Amino acid sequence: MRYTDINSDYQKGERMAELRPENTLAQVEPGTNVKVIHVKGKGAARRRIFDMGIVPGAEVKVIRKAPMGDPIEFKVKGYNLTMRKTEAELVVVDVLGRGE
Amino acid sequence: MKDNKITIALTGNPNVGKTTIFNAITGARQHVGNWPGVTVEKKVGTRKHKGMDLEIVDLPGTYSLTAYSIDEVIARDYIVEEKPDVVIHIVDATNLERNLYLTTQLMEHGARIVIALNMFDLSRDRGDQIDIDKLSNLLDIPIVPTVGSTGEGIEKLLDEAIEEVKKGPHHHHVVGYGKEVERYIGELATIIQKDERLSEKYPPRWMAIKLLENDEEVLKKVKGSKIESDIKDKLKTIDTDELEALMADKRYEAIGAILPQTCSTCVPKMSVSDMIDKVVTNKYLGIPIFLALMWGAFEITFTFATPFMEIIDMGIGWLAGAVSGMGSGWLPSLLGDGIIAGVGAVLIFLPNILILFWLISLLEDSGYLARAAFIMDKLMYNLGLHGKSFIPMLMGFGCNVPAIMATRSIEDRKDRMITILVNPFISCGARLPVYVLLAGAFFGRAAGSVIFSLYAFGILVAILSAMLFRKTLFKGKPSPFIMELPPYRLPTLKTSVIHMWERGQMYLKKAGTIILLGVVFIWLLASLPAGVEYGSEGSYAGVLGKVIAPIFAPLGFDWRIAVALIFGFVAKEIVIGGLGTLYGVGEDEGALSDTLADSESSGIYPANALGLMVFTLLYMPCIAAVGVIKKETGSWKWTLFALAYGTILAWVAAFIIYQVGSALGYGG
Repeated sequence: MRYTDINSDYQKGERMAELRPENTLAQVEPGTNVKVIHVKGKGAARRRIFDMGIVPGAEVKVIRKAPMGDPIEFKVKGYNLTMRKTEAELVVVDVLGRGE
Repeated sequence: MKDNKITIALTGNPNVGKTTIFNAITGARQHVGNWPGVTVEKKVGTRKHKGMDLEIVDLPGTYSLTAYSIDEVIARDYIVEEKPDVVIHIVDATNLERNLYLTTQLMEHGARIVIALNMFDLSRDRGDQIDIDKLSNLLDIPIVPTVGSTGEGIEKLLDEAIEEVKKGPHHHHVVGYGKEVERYIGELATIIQKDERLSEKYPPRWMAIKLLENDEEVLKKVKGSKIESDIKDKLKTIDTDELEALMADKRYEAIGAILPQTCSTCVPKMSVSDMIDKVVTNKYLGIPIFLALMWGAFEITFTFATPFMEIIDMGIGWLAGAVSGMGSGWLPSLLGDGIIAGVGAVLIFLPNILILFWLISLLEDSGYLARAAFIMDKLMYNLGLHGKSFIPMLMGFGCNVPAIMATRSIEDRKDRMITILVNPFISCGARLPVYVLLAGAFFGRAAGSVIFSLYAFGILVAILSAMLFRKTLFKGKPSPFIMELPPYRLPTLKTSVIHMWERGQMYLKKAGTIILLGVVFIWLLASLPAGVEYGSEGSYAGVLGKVIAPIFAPLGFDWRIAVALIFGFVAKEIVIGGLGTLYGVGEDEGALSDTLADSESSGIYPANALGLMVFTLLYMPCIAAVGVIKKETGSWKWTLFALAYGTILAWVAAFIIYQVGSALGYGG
């Protein structure tokens, strides 16, 4: 497990400069609900991820993996979005739990 | 607005029914062109409404106005630079939250907007209660509920659009980005205002926001202006990477504040679409269903096309007969041997193309093609391609011309170029007659396996070439795959037929002109100097064949095969007709097969026969394909590259086959 400093997260300063295990959208099992903490990287792909509604605070449900294991399908803002693992790895999330 | 003329731009997210609205407004009064400098389609239509002449411009579907894909740059540049009188923003009533994200960006720019709340029937039927008046008030934008497929609401939408133009400039209240960011926006806007040229053309607040979002296209606009260094100094002090997230978040926050007030029932629920996907993209069923659908599409294409092809074939035969009745001379020959044979060879694929296009339009409009990209992306990615490359590759088995045109759905230029360049190696229908004849003549019972191997070899060459191009010419990883899987919808006959016709028409028009020129050129080669027998040794084609014969000698091809291959440039199945003429047996394929199989006199043995089949598979694409490669890449350089690459590869492959085959005793 890699550790990362999430102090760079702009949100409200409520997340401390502690070190904590990092969960990304690529690692979460299908059926899980998560909350977006922040999106790593920079440039056009990151901006596109934001445009599609994956913004800090957004709730995302992991729906399924494609038959060959990649890409992954999500539900966000009431619609279905798909990203490759490489893109999903940029999205750091908090696991909220499983369920419908 | 001048002289009662109003320009209206249609904008909206992909899959919101923009094309349906466009068709509903303009009917048949539309024409398709290209945006300057790029191969993205530009559709413009006209309409008279209440004494006004409306010009409707259909912008490419976009999720936001940041410059991500070429489509978005075009849509934004049109709104920003051309300043249409009013923007009709089409919003999917069943997915307000994400759709309104684009709305916030349009508002930011200060364009005059009318919202078409489309697919209103779907949202009504599922029980959403949208308070349209309240939403309209909160956004300060007129909203008209529409149903594109039935035309409901279209008249009112146009009324509102004209009203909005009359109102004059309008400033929307916009998203507030919080104290810190607003301060940056204010500071940057103040700098921008110092440059009259820029601030007159672009709203300073909008420019400031885009600069904070690291928008390369807007940075380019600042370049060379007198405020460039001031802007750069200011931006250096700001961590724009952090701001991007914040700004997107604030936009969604603003939407989140409006939505609950206007639609308490608009919460995501398990839809029919989700249930279909449970099966269609299922871990175990996904691939079999995909393969079954593709197989079905091909089966239908070829079964349904056959009677039409026979009719066209009869028509061509009748025409050719009528022309030969005109007697001898250069004109009947030009018409018969040249134009009718050449254009006919291309025309005969029209039923195939139209049916295949229609089926693909149905799959596309239903939402399945997005799933196909989802299912195939892993495989394509490993080959250096993109999930969306799969459909064009598959279409290539029918005809490479529509296949190359279908690459338009691939946003990234590198992904698209690779997909175009390797497409000709997918063995199209026109190459099959060549395989059937030669494999039948030289490989007897193994003919079927030989033909199958040729198809497999074509796929292998396409895959290896794609990997090679990705490592050399188009370095880098395939572009990110971040795609919406739109809800399944029942496609309408009207939209899918219009879609089919647009594509089919392009095949006829663009490829047609080039083919005609090519056909006449080949005919001239085969009939000049005056008096020679068509395509004989004494004709320029024959002379050319003899001149280039030494190049083909190491492959075991004599001058006659060289000439037939030149003919095959028009359309690959003409290789057969060419051989028929040159071996003096005419159109009778049975006789041709027997003549060729007599290796002693024909000089063709199994080794060079296989070489010839592989050469036909790989060498330069036919004229129609070359025409469409030029059109889609927009570059002669890449078109010539495709020609040279294929031909060199064909030579090397045929050389190895002939030399190895001869060494093993199959070369006579």
